[in-house]
Amino acid sequence: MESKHRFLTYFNIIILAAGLTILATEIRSINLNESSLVALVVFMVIIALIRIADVELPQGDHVTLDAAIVVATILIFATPAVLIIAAGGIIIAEVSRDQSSGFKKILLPLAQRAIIVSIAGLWMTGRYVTATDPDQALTLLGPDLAFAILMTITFFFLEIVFNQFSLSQRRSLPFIPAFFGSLTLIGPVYFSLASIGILMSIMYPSMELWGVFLFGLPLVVVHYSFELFLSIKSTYRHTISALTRAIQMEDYDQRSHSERVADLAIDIGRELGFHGERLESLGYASLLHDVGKLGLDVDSFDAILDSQGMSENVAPHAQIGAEILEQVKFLEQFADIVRKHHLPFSASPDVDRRHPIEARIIALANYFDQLTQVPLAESRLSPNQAIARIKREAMSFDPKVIRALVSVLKRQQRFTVPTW
Amino acid sequence: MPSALRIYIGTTAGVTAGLSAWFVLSGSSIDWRAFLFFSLLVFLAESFCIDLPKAGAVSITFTIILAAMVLFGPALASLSAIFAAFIWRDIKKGTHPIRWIFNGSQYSLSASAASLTYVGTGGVVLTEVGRGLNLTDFPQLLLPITLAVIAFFLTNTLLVSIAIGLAEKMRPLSVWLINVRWAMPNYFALAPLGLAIAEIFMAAGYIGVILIFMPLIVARQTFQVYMRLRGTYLGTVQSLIAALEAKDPYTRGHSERVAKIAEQIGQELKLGENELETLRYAGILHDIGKIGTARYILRKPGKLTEEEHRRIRLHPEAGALILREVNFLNHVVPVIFHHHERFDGTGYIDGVAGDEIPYLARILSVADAFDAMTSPRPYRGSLSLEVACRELIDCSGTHFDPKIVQALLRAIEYAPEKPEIAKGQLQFNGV
Repeated sequence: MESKHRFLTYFNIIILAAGLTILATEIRSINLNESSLVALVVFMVIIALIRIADVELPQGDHVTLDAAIVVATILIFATPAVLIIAAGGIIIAEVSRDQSSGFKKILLPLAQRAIIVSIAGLWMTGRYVTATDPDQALTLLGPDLAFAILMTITFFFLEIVFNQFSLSQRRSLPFIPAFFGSLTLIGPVYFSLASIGILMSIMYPSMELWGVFLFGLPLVVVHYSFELFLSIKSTYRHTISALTRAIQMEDYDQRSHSERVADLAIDIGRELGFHGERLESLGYASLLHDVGKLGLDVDSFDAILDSQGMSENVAPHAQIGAEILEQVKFLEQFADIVRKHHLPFSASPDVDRRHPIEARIIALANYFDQLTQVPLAESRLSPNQAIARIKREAMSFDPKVIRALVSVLKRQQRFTVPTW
Repeated sequence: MPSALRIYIGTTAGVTAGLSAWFVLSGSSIDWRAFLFFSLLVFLAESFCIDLPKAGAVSITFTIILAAMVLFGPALASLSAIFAAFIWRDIKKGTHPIRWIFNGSQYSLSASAASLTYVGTGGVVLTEVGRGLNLTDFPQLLLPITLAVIAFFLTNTLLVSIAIGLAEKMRPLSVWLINVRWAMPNYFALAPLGLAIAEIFMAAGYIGVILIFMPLIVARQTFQVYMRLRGTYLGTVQSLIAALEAKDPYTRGHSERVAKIAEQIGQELKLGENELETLRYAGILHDIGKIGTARYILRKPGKLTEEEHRRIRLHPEAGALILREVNFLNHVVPVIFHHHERFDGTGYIDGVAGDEIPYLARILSVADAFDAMTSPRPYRGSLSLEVACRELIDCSGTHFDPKIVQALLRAIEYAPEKPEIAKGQLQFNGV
C-alpha cells in the first residue's frame, strides 16, 4: 500500500526531527529541586487527565485541551522541563487508556509535541520565565507578554499543521482544505486555551498549583460546551442519514446508496478545495438527493414517468425532493441542489449561478455509484471501467468534477493509472 | 402598561438615583478607570447571557458585581451595576426604555444591598488593604460573603418578582417562589468565580481579568449555537416527517397528532419534562420504519396477504434499527421498538406483557391507536370519537394498559354516559 508507505516515511522523519530537537535543547541542563519536581509531576498528571477526556472531531482526529497546560508550562518552566512534562503526560494518558494503544500511537504525538514545544519555546529563550524568579511575577505583563502571545500563536499553528498533516497522510486527504477546516472549527477553542495558559502562568507565583485547579474550571466549561456543540452536529448528521436509510426500504443495516454518494461527494468537494460549512452542506445535500423518491410509487405509473423524465433531464423525483426540502427550515437551503442534481452540464459563463457546483458533484457521484454498485455482480463496473464510461459520456458532466473524481480515486488507490 | 407598574419602576429608579448621588457626593474616592472597566464588564456579561431552554437566561453579571464589591467596595459596585441597563440585544431591537431603566436600577439596588451588607459585617475591601486574598482570610470572610450573596439575591428576586407580578397581574409572592427555587443554587455557584476574579485582578490587573473572560465568552458562543441547533432539532425532524408523510393522504399529519396525544396523556400522568420530550420524539418518529415499506401495501384497500402483513409488522423493529445510531435519541429507540406490544402479551415485536413493556411505549400505543381510529383509512372512513373511546375501553387490559386509557379519556374529557354505540361492529387491527 502506497499510502501506508508514505505515512511510515512521515513517521520516521518526525521521529528523527524530534530526536534532534531534544538533543539540541540539552535536556541535561535541567536542574530540579524538590518542590519543582512535585510541580512537574502534578502538571504531568493534569495533562494526562485532560488527554484522556479529549474531544473527538467529526473528521476522526482529536482536539486535546491539554495545550492550555503545555502553554502555561512553557511560560513557567524552561523548555527542557516542558519536554519532560509533556512527554510524561502523553505516556501516562496513552498507557491508561482502555484499548491497548500501539507503540507508534504513543511515539507520534510524543515526537510532534517535542518539536512544537521546542520551536514555540524559542520565542521565550532569554526572556522571563515565571518559576525561576518568583519576585518578578508581573514582568510578564510588560513587553514579554507580546512574546508570550507570539509563542502561543506559533504553538497552536504548528499543532494544527502537524495534526492535519499526519491525518491527511494516514487518510489520503488533501492537506490544505483539512487545515483550513480545522482552523475554523477549533480556532476559537485554541484561542481560549491560549488565554487560560497565559493567565495560569501569570498567576503561578502567587497561587502556585492552586491556580492550576482554579483555571481548570474555565477549561472544563470550554471543553463541555465544545463537546455539546459537536454532539448536536453529529446528531443532525446521523438523523438525516437515518432518515435517508428509511427511504431505501430494505437492508437497514447496509450503508445506503445515499450515504455512499455523500462520502464520495465529500471527497470530491475536498479535492475541489471545499472546507468547513460548505463541505458539511454538500454532505447533507447528497444524503438527501433521492428524498423525492419517497413521493413516487414504485409500482405505479409515476415510476415509469420518473425514468422517462430522467432521459429528458427533468427527473420528477428531484423536483419532488426539492419540494419536500423546501418545507423544512433547516434543509431548505439544499432544495436547489437537489432539484438540479440530474441537470446535464453545459458550459457557459454563468453556469455557477444557474447550476450549482454541488449539484454537478452529486450528479457525478450518483452516476459513479450507480455504475459501480449495481446489485447484480456481473453488471457491476470496476472504478476504471466506470471512469472510462463517464469520460465517453463526458458531455453531461462537468469536466472539472470528473478530474477531481479521478484524483480522489487515485488517492484512495481505487483507480489504477493505465500504463502504456 | 399598568400605572401601578409605572409608579413602581419610577420609585425604584428614583431610589437608585438618590443612592448613586450619595455615593458620588459622600466623598468616597472612586477609581474611575476601574469604574469604566467594570461597567464595560457588566455590560458585556449582561449582553452575553445564556438563554436556557425552558426558563429565562443565566448571566454572570452577579459575579462581576461581586468582584467589584470585594475589590473596591459599595460605591463602585453599585455605580457600575447600573450599566446592566444596556443589553446589546435590547439596544439593537429598540425595546422600551422603561425596561432598561428598571434593569439598571434593580441591579444597582441589589449591588448596594449586597456591598453595604458586606462592608457592614466586616468584609475587607481588597484595594484598601492593598493585598490579595490568603487562605487564612477565608474563615473570616465566609460570613460577610454569604450574607452579601443572600442580600443580593433577596433584593434582586424581590424587585423582579414584584415587577413581573404587576405586569402579568399575578401574585408577586408566587412568582417569587417559582424563581427562588432554581435561582438560589446558581448564585452560590457563581460566587466563588467572583472571588477568583477579584484575586486575579489583585495579582495580574486588568489583563488578567480580560484573559479569564476570553474563554468564557468563547464557551458561551459555542453553547449558544448548541442551544439554537438543539431548539430547531425537533422542528427539523417534525417538518421532515410531515413532508414525507404528506405524500400519502392517509398518513398525513398522523405522527404529529400521535405526538400531541401522547404528550397530553403524559401530562395527565404527571410525567417529568424529560419523559415528555422522549414521548414527543417517539410520537414524531414512531412510524419511521414504515416510510420505506412499499406504499402499495399501506394504501391497499381490503385484506393483506401473509407476506404483506409480515412486512408491516416489522416496522417497529425497522424504526428502532434506523434510529439506533442517533445517540441523541437513545431513549426513544425502545419506545418505538415496543409500540405495538399488547398489554396481555399478544402483540409484536417481543410479545412482552404488562410492566415488561416500557411505560412510554404503552402510552405511545394508546395514542397511536386512538389517532388511527379517529382518522380515515383506505378500507373505512374515520370513526367517531364515541366509537373510538368505546373501543379503547373495551380493549383495556387486553390491548392497552387500563390506567393509560383512563388518562387519555381524562385528557380529552370524554364523558362515558353519552349514548352507547353498539359494540363489536368494527374490527380494530391496531396498525
